[in-house]
Amino acid sequence: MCIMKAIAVKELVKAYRRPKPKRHWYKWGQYEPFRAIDGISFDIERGEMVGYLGPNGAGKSTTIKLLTGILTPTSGQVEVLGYVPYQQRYEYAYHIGVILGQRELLWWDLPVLDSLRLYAEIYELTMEEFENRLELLSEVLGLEDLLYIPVRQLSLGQKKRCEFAASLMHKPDIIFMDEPMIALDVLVKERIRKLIRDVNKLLGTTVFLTTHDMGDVEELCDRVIILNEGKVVYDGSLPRLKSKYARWKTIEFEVSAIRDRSMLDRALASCEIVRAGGANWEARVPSDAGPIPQIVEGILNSCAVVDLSVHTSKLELIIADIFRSGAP
Amino acid sequence: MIRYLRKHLKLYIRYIRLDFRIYQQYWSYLVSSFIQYVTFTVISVVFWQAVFFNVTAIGDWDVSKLVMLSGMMFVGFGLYIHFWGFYNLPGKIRQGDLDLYLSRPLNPVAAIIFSEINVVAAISEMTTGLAVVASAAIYYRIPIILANLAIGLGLLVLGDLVLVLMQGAISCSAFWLGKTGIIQGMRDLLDDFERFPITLLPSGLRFFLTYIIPMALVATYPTLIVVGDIEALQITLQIAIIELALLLLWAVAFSKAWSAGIRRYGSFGG
Repeated sequence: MCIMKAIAVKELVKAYRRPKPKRHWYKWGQYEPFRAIDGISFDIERGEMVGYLGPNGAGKSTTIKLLTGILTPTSGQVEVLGYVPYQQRYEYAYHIGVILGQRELLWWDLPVLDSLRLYAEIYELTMEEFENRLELLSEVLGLEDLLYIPVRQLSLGQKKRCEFAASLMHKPDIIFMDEPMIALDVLVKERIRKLIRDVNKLLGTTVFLTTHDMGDVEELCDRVIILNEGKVVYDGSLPRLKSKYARWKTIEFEVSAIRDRSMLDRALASCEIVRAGGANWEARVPSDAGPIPQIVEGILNSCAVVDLSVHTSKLELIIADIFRSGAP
Repeated sequence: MIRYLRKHLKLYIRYIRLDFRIYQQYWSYLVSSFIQYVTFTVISVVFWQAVFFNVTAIGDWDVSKLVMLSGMMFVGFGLYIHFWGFYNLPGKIRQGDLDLYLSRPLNPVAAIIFSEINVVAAISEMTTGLAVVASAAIYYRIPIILANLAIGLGLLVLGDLVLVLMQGAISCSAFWLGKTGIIQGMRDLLDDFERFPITLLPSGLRFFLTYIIPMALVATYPTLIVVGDIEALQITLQIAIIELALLLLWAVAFSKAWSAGIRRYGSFGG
């Protein structure tokens, strides 16, 4: 595998065994093999920002744990920055930042600053490096008022911000993030997205992100990999995904009055009405159903329109379609 | 290698400082810990005083040696507390909490130990133990030779390390079994033998508690060496060899169990 690539994964498999569904209470201790990751392959170049998407249980977190060296693969090859993560954990860990949404990184009973000092020592930062980076991260993440508060007294969102600081302090070459934005408010999300964009642009940091928030994907990722039942079902750029798999266009409009109801119904005859009645309407048109301008003209002629917009399917809907069908 | 060791030594000191910081956050915990040790020490001494109210000795053990045994037991337990992380390891394996250690540049075994360090409790136990040993030596006028004291404490440290590695191996079984409470419970039952003179027990049980689960090596034999009852170099060497052999055996067992276990680790829970 090529060392210049940030991540190279080939035919990667992680298998567990899980209990068989029981029909009788006395039948226990029976297991069946289960492949959480089923022969996936992909390469990621240095400096790429990749969204790794999939429904619950698709194997996203398992992949991140394989890439970070937490788990040992059952078979296949994985190489990150030229390291085999599960074999060279110690040296490799200096180069990565890991944020696992479900795991606490900070010392529960102590002020945040104590945990950050511990991480500085783990990554062997000098006092000067520590202070410089703390100052920068405090400013970006708004940590100044949180550093001296015991972690147990912080809100979930405040804790997350501090965990970002703990994970980015050593300037990792790759950041792995598993559902990092859970419980964050809009303003903090925006701050963190900006931070991630900046470290990617300024330091060339590779970003590998799992999320259910399509806002994160649209704002951060150049490329998405979609996983379903342990298999990669899409790997490509976000614009390509939208243009190729957007099966619908959405027309949203707000009306103050309907002048001719039958004309409106005729205009929308080829559409699937998502929301109707009252002032706000939403209709979906299959991409291949005919010219949108005629539909829009029919709406404008039949109603007093306050506002109208036409857009391709939301990313959520495209992804949901892919999840449902299993493959695009 | 030196850089690696120096880093982990610095981390050990950092974790100790964090532990002190926790006591700063919960000062009442510090006070209650102190009360607990004083109470436990007094009860131990009163227990042996009561036992010997009508008798002067049980076998070769008189009250002075038994008080000394209590002191040695505290010293041993204080040392053992340093490695409490091994005791709580099964929970971490089951809940996937090893993720944090496996994705950072630090030795995960060291991290498991350091992160659960309770240095205040360890120092309290060891100080209490040494105070009881010193008080017993003065009160009962037991002549203590410094060389014997050093050898006794040295063997106690070795014996403790054997028990620590044994605990580590038992805890690693959680990689396969998930819950290890029953095995751990069986092991914990034997802890009581630390506070009793094992040389008084029947030969079969004595053999079991010396060579299989070496409780005799963390209190009974070190005490006998400190008070001068085992003076023969040959017997002292024999105890040291047993301890070293057990240390090697359990070190290999723990190392194999850890390596195989970490390959099997499932990182469940998120």
